[in-house]
Amino acid sequence: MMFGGRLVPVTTGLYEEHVTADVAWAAVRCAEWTGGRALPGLPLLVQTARYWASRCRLDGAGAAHIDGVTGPDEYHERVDDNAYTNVMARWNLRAAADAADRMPVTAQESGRWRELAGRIVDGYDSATGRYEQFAGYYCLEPLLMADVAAPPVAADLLLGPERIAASQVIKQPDVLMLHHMVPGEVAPRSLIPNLDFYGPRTSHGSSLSPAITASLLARAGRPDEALAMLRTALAIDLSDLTGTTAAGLHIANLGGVWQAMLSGFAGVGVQAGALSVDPRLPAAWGSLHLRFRCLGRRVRLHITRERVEITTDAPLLAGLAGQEPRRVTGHCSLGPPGKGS
Amino acid sequence: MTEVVALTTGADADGQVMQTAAVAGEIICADVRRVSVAQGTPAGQAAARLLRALREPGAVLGVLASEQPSRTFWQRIVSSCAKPVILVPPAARGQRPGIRRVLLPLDGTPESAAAVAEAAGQFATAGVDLVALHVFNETTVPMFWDQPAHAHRAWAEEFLARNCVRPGARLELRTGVTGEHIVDVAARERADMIVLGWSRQLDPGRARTVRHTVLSAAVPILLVPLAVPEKDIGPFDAVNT
Repeated sequence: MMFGGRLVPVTTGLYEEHVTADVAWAAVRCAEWTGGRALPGLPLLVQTARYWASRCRLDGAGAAHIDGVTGPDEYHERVDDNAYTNVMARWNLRAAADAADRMPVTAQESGRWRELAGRIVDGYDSATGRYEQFAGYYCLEPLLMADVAAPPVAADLLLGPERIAASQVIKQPDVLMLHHMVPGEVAPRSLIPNLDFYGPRTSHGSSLSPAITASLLARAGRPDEALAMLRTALAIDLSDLTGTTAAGLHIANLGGVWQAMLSGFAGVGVQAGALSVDPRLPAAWGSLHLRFRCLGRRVRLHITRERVEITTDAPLLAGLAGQEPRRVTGHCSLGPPGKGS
Repeated sequence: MTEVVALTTGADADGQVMQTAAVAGEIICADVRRVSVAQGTPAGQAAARLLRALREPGAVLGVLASEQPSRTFWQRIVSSCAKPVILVPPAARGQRPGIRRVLLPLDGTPESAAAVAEAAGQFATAGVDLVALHVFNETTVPMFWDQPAHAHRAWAEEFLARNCVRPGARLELRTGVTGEHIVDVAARERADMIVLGWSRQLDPGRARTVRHTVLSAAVPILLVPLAVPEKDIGPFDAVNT
């Protein structure tokens, strides 16, 4: 691509290897939500696990590394041990190992996946509760967005690729994307320290960033901040914030908005064949209504501060987070919602 | 009768001024009317003659050397004249005849786009290659820039559609100080002319882009006044103060 009169290589297609695990995650997630017993993505899970097994490098101490990748934060290209990539690879290996009994995979191979998953470094520091985005990130110029411009802003255009790559400014959630996608794979209670650290360094220069950040803020118990971010996400096409809406809607942002509503504010999750709800309503919202399908059922949620009402067209296992799920038929009131985790 | 009014002062620049006026006259199908003042004529008198000629109904464009008869003479003319004016800088002397490519710096506001729209149309009709330039700075940088190659193409297409609806026009993007990039891109693109919309405000701190371009460019600069009240203007001049 030519920019500023010079050729600027676009390397996302070469180094954003995390998409390998992302696609496997999407297949597993789809199976969880639809309740499909036969996971259609099983062969995909196997092949992606084999890819990561071949991709990891073991150092002299036996730790596994993934070198030369680009994370969701595309401002820093070709880095080593990107926390997002490594943790997603770890998740991929473990998910494949967990499903190995349903696939033509030897116990020896699945055992190797599980062992390798345990060796992958992730940059987590228990003292701070933070993940280092990639090896050497903390050594970069500690630039904050407050020093650059008010987000959202395409900081790479403003500062140039060299300066941005030498700084801690990031384009969108990277470490924090793990808390959004695989909260079970990250350290307990690590959302807030990472949100507090990476939030001020995030330019939100990707149209995908505000919606996911809204979801994360809601899960962190900051629903009013989340609502402000959600409004930015909503305005991306409604107010043509990108200047490119005429060329087409930003579908991934629209998907992110839906995720923010469902996973973020409503705290809806599906695990082990049961629906769980853990809402965080902003002060400006009296209630939240959502309609969706999961586990083969049509579900309606009416969430207030006092209760969560569920309507389903067929029996469904459902409950508030932290509570034992119960069999819901027709209409049921669960509540009051707790403070959650 | 439509006229291009060219000011000659008996200086070395006269030849380039007349050549530029002739080329501009061909493009807009206008005659060239020469207003001559003798060397040493007080600037006030020269300005009065040129402005009087430009006020006549048939006069649509003025052409003068940017440093004749004095270094600040052009400022007096362009700030007093509501019609477009071409300034021929000293470095343009010896420029190849004709206009094959023009540079259109656009700040993305409807006002600046509207100011240069007619000129852009006339150049396009004459087969002149149009290169638009937009410079990002803290106030104009987009909020979002997703996958760079895709974002660049979509953004450029939309920018041109909104600001320069001319088939074949292409967009150059830069980041930094607008005036510096105008001069640089004009040279790099071998543009024969720069077309700038401006607010006619030369107060201290205003019109930095115009001043820098006039002082530094090596090709003639067509200044087209914006047709909006000053308070509503968001042009280069305001952006770059």
